[in-house]
Amino acid sequence: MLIIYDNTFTGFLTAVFDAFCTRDEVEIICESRFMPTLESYTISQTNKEKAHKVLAVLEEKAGKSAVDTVYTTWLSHRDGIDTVLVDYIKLCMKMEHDPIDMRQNETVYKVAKTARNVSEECHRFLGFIRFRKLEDDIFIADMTPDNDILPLIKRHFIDRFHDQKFMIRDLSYKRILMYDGKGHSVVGKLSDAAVLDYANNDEFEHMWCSYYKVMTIKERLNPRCQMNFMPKKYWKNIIEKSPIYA
Amino acid sequence: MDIKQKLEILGDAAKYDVSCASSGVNRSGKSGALGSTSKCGICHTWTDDGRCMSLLKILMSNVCVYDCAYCQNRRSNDVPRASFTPREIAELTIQFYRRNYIEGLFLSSAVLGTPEKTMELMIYALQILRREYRFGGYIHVKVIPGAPSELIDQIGVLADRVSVNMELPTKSALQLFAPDKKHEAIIHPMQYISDRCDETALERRKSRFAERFVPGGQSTQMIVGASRERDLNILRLSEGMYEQMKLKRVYYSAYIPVGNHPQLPALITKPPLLREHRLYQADWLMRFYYFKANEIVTEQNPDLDLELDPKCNYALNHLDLYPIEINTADYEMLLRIPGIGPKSARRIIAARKYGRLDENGLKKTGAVMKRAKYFSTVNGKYYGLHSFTPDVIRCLLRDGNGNGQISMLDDIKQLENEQKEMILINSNTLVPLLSGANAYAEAEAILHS
Repeated sequence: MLIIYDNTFTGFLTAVFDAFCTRDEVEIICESRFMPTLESYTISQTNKEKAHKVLAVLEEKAGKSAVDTVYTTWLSHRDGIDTVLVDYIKLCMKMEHDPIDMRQNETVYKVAKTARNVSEECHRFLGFIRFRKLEDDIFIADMTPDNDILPLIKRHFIDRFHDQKFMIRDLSYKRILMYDGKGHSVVGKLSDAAVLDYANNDEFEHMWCSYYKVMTIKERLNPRCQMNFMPKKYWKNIIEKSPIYA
Repeated sequence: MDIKQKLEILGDAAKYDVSCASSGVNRSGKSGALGSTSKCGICHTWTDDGRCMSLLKILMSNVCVYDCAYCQNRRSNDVPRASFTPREIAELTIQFYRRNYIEGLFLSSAVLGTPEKTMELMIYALQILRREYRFGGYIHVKVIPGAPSELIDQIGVLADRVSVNMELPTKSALQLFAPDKKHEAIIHPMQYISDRCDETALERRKSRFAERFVPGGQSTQMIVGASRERDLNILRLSEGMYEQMKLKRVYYSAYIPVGNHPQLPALITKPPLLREHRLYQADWLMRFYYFKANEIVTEQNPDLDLELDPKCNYALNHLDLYPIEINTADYEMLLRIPGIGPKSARRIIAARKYGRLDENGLKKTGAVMKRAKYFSTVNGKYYGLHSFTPDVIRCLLRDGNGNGQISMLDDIKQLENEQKEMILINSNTLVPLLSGANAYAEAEAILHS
């Protein structure tokens, strides 16, 4: 049987609660990934109390690290990850600690690999985000990650650019982080990713792109190595590699 | 000259300084200020030559009074010259930082007049950044050889990491190619920085308000392939610096011909990139795998093997230690298996708590089975070949090392052509001496026995 939840983490946890309540073999799937088949399904009603209860029990049995692992893995939004996570949570409950080291187990291995993939993308984007200056000293950055990493990277940018007004737009998951330069931030839905009117006379942007070009040592050209670390799919938002300057 | 032109000249002049890490210091942002650092370092971009850029790497000036033969900025070379003012450096750093292009500043310089005068200008630039702008990002600064201790004290509290370049691995080479840079002028600041780091570490244990001096440690760089040094000299020197001066990193830079000194490699020489790569692999073995320099290279074999990485080479020369059982070996022994690094070794030990690992389990720990299978057993089973002999394993390793060889027999023919001789004794059989025309037939016999 299938349980469908809305696209939020609270919805996912509610579905987990429902899955634990039934005795049958259930699979959980997110609404956006659901394709109607002959299989019977129910839609779970997102319920905050149920969600909190799942988190509380998980933290009690397996510790905060397990909660972090589950959240990070869920943010990957991969096909089939929901069911894998249910199995993982069941394993946490059974073993009464975080079994993340038990890599021989298929479920743990999948969760560990996916969580690692999300963390690595987070770390990469700390470096790949490029702010472009708009009028009024507001800096805007666009990004197109594979995983939904905005909740994980927002603290880094607020901490680092504490006196700077900025916005980060996630074009894959249609979200926007806005920070006012005084300690207040909000993450909202991005309805329309308009192409903005940047101050194209940003001299520091020009300087960076020309500096980037001179730093190449021509006797050591190695495009494969470069693409290994900086995949081409991200280039359109990395200013020195984007079509504007390259 | 405007800032953009200066940046192009002085960035180009700095690109051969390969150290570019932004790691080692954890500093969170301050309320109302700009900048933080991350202990693991963050890479922001990669140049077309595959190197990562995380700092604004510039020279303050390339107007040099010295005439070091290997350097493109030497006094006698005809290149465009420029100098930044300290305020220009600070402004550039802040504006690039705001756009998240960089983690911070990497400031080096040619010797502008005297080492003292150069250092004072660099100190001023850092003071503007730290005191006026309240910049909390990463700063890596190069100490000019010959700088007096008072100036090193001043710059050490402003920077996160400092380095003094060794330039060349031997005293004689330094004397020959860079007579202006005396050996003592390089070693003395390095030793002083190391001692001050120890002192301040002690003071910080007593009080957390004690001033931080170079919290990210010290590093250095040397050029490889300019003089005729052996890898043994280089690695022993690195080992000494890691152990005695507690350096964080030693960087090796393949010599790129820029000059016509009679003793330097000709201008058409290709930079020794593979040798540089092997040196970095050996450096990693010393820092993370508990190897000693004389285990990696010896007096009899003072150069690193270019065909195989140093770890596989070590394993083949010490086959009496192998195969190692995955389920019982301790961390240091696991690290000696080619294909298993610190991450895989830690995962193996953690996974062992849940039961003995089988081959499937070993794959899931991230070990590189293509290499590890020849040197390990899993629950007593050996997944390599049935004949545990070094020559055949060497061929198979090279085959997998992407030499483009399709058949193993091609490897052996190459062996024959190069007239390699290998005498290796393992505990059971005496392996025959392979040489010349016999190599092919011998190896085939071993394989099929």
